[in-house]
Amino acid sequence: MSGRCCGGWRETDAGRVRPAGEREGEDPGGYPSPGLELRLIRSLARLDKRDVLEVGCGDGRLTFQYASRARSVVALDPNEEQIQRATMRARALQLEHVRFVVGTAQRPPNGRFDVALFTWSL
Amino acid sequence: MVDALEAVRKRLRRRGIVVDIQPDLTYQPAVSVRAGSRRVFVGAVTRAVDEDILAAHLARDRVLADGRFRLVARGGAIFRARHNVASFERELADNTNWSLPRGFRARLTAARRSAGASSTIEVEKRFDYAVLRRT
Repeated sequence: MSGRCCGGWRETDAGRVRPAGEREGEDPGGYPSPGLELRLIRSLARLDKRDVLEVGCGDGRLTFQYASRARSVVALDPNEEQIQRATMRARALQLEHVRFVVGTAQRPPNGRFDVALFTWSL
Repeated sequence: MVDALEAVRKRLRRRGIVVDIQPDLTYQPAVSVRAGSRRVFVGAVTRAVDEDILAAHLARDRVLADGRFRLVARGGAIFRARHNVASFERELADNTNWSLPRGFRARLTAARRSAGASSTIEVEKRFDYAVLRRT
């Protein structure tokens, strides 16, 4: 895979890729700017109309970027407060196919998935 | 982490995939102050190996070696996280394996004073990604 160019990211001479168009703005939490991470993931895996399991979703920072395209999303995080916040936001956005669950990858909820995302989920 | 990958594997459909994004194991975060298009390098943070990240990378290798997954893609990427002073301090506090080189804070203060109030603190980070397909 090293050397492949993918949407929004460009290769560096060390065989790595770098965001092609960095966006202005502050990113508290130290994550990539909104959109950059998703472009990378979508260049690696199809999320549209797929059943997605996301591990370590936090407050849904990444989840809400792709949720509207997925067939279903189950997003896990051990932090109950963040899951509550994400659930309220999903309700407000009427994303009925998205479920935020307090939990970890060691015990994922029942269901079958096409894609599992482990993003900064140590 | 091997347990986590194995538990998730059981929930994946045939030919289902895992996209795993984790911090690069050995990178040293580079800190700069940016004002408009001008960027002033302040210094590189010393980052000790994080045992959790090491475990995550080893787990990836283990499930591939065991034949539980097949490697579809692997690579790395760089991005810059942008901070104000408060969020930068939170980042330092959250990353207990980071330590600042001698003179770093004085250089940071001087760079911010020179760049002006609208400047941001940028931390260049690296991460690794891998795409694993269920066998």
